[in-house]
Amino acid sequence: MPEASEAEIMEHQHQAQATTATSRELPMARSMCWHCQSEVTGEYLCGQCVKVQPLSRDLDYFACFQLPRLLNIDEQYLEKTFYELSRTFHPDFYSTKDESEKAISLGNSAFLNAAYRTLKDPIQRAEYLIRLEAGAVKDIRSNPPADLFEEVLELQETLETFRQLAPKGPSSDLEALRKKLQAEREHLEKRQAEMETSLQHKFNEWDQLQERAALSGQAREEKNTILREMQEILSNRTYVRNMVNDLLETMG
Amino acid sequence: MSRIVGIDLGTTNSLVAFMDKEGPHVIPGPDGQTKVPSIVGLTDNGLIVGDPAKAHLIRDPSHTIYSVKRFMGKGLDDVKDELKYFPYHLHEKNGVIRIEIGDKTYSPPQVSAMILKELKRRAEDYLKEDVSKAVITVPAYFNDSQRQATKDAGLIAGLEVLRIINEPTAASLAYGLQKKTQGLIAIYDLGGGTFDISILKLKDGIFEVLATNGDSHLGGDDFDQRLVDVMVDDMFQTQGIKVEGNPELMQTVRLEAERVKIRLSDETQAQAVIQLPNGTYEKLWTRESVESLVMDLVERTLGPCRNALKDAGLTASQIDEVVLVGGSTRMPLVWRKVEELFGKTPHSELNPDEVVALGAAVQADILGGHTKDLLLLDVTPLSLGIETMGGVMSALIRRNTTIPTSAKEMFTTYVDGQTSVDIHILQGERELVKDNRSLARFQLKLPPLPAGVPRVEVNFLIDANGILHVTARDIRTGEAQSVQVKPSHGLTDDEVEGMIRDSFQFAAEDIKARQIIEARNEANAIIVATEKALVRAANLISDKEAEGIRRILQQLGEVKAGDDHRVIRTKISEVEKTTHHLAEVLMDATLKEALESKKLSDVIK
Amino acid sequence: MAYSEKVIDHYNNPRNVGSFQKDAEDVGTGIVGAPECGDVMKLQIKVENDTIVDAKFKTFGCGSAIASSSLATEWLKGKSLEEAQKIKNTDIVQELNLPPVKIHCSVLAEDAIKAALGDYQKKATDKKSKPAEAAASS
Repeated sequence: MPEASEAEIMEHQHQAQATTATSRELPMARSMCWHCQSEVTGEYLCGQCVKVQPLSRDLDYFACFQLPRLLNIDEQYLEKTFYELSRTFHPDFYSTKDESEKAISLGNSAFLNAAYRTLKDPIQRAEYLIRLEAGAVKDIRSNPPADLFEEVLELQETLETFRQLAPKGPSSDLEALRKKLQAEREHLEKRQAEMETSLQHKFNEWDQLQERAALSGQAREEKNTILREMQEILSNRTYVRNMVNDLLETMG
Repeated sequence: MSRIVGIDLGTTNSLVAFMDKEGPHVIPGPDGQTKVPSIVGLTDNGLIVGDPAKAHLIRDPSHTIYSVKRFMGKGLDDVKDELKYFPYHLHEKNGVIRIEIGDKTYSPPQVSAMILKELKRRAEDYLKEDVSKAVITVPAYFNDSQRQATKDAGLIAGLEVLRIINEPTAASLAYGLQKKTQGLIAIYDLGGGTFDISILKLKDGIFEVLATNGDSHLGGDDFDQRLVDVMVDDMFQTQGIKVEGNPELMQTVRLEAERVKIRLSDETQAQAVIQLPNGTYEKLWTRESVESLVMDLVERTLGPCRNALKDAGLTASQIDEVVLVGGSTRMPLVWRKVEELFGKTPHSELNPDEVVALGAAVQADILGGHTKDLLLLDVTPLSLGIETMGGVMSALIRRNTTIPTSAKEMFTTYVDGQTSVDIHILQGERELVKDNRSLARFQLKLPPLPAGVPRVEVNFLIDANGILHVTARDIRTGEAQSVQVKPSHGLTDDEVEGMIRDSFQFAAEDIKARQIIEARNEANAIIVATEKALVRAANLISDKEAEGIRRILQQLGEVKAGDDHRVIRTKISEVEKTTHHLAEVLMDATLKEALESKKLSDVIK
Repeated sequence: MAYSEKVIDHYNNPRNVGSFQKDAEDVGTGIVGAPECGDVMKLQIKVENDTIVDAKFKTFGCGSAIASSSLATEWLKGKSLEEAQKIKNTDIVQELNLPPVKIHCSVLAEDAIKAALGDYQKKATDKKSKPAEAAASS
């Protein structure tokens, strides 16, 4: 496993301050080409020497895809843009270039892939947006769902009993337990689906608010409320999802 | 810029291909064969590779290495269950398997390098130019150590490895290019020693891998072994012959098992025939009997298929096309099982032996900047993580993440003045460290400061080859920090350099072996030609002269068995001198005949 | 870095797994969860004369979360309520050598201690105020 000296070069370039982006193009790490020092204003490739430019460290995933911070995303647009940007940045197209260009292409590609992966999945997309809008997730930590915790503990006890009984072969106790767990599973899966529906409602609320805010200025309080509500749904969903997974794993 | 070739470095066979304006082509050898058996024989006169080595395998199994790919990037512990099947001794040094042949030891990358060199030479002879850059394929399910070992093999062979590319993805490139396919395809790749399944989305020239899965220790070799086990047992039961402990016989049985298996792809029964010192062993195999013998192995490939579909978020019915790759997919049983799982007839229009090499050539052309409309977006097959307390792995990069990709982790100290943190990097899907693959360890240096003050960010980056790079940066100073990563199952840079130096020495030995083969061939040709000439010139030279020629021919026959090509050459020129008069006489006679026939024809005219 | 046998033991053989009667007056219960990973931790203390005489836990989550709660219960035993308040997640991180990705497990343990102490104190306050309430209402 060699050291990636190329990555160090890139880190170095990332030290420079980000420039302001035009609406059409991505912000690059510097306002001057790292190679020929000519002015670059958001082009991926330098207009003078055609060398690839490193993406700005301040670039967020939404901006990377030139998307506003909305939660409903046109998946076809996302894929199309991902493919286009991949054709610009992928290391395959820099294999005969010098080490610095290779390193920049590698860094830009890794960032692009992370951005696509995150935005493609609605849950990851929402979690990312919350982090972006509110700083650390903990800052808007939601109320602990005490009833859900009780449910987790209770289910785990039942699962424990089931795991102890199962190796002893079929019995009426085991069968009853299996039925109970089966019912629990259906109930939890239904709940998970409901959570996803309410999350979708929050997506719509957020998007509408963002559009209103763009016209009327700040709506910080309202935004925080939606973010907090979304965070709560996401957290609760995690507990429910874990329970479903444990159930599936134990019961096969 | 020199041409970049594509190489399929297989468990049983290897191929080399290139691309021109018409498309990708596999390069044949002088005999027209495209496959080079991945076998290396170490003779007293240096090494031989490919078909000659396959012949050597039966004569001298303890000096012949096959299926070396199974050992790439591994330690002895990883292969302990199958050691008994290999005729040579293995040991481990610095976490890397070493193969003992006579008084020499070789690491698996060195042996692979010998195969690569043969392919390189083949390409150079064919293309009539130097070949120094290559794309080499590996099973998609290869981990970091196995990929790195393959890259090392390239270096030792004198090749700059521009890219390590996954075999099923390479196959998809060749397939997609030829068929102009769009949509969701599954590549089922069952080779000699490894199994891969990859699910891809093909759209507008982009080949996006959605998920990959597999078993890097399952292939045609394992099928052969099942047949071998039955026959070895049978030979002992019926004739009291102990095959174990007789490496020559064991290899004969193995090759016969392979032959029978291949035959049964086209026919419903095949006879195994093995020559014994006193008699023969025969066994009639039916397709059904072999199918029931390997059924569980074929079924073992279905689990990874289901997992790959699940990771891609797809069901089997959503797959538009299923493509079969690898020699083992010729088995009708494999066909049927794949058809059952996906509910559609699999494609195998492209030669399953060649499609991977062809794809590697396409990728080589992309890297060379000639093919601009195709792009492959591959994934990392295994999750990457670090060891946390209690022997638990915590994942940093999930499997099936598109590469290149990176993950950053911040490290600090918990004790005042602490100056280092040990980091253990792992790959795998299990919770416990011991069930996963240890990739490497390194010690992160920290400035001696109060606890919690140092902040060093470590970046784990998986490049487009699926190979990990680690860098670190001190957040407080912004300075990059060097990281000395020690691979768990890999050669160090120094070792690789040493092996590159050694390979020059091997090269000298290779040339020696080659020169002997060439001198012998020439001697054989001269003996045959002279014997014919003696018959023709029976009435044209004296008995004494003929006697003298026969004597020196016999001497040449004796000398050619030796292993000094110079002695053979000397004798050849002696034969040429002695037969000088014979040649003249024959030439005169031929000339006369020709002139006479001319006159005759003139007359006729 | 060599880990001490004692610390590794918290992973392999977690101590004090179990439950006390939740309604008992001398028991404080804290149930907390980590929304990042869905781990849930229940930690209980048994108190006599403002000293924690016993502690038990049940944790559903990763090994680090279990080790963190095991260690926390060991530390709690014999401590006064005041001393128990001072246990910080960073102490657990240091003792168990938790990597950055697992720091939230120690936070969970600290939260559980705080919640258990809070629960016990609430019960104790209610108990004191109850006779007074009863007197007032009569």
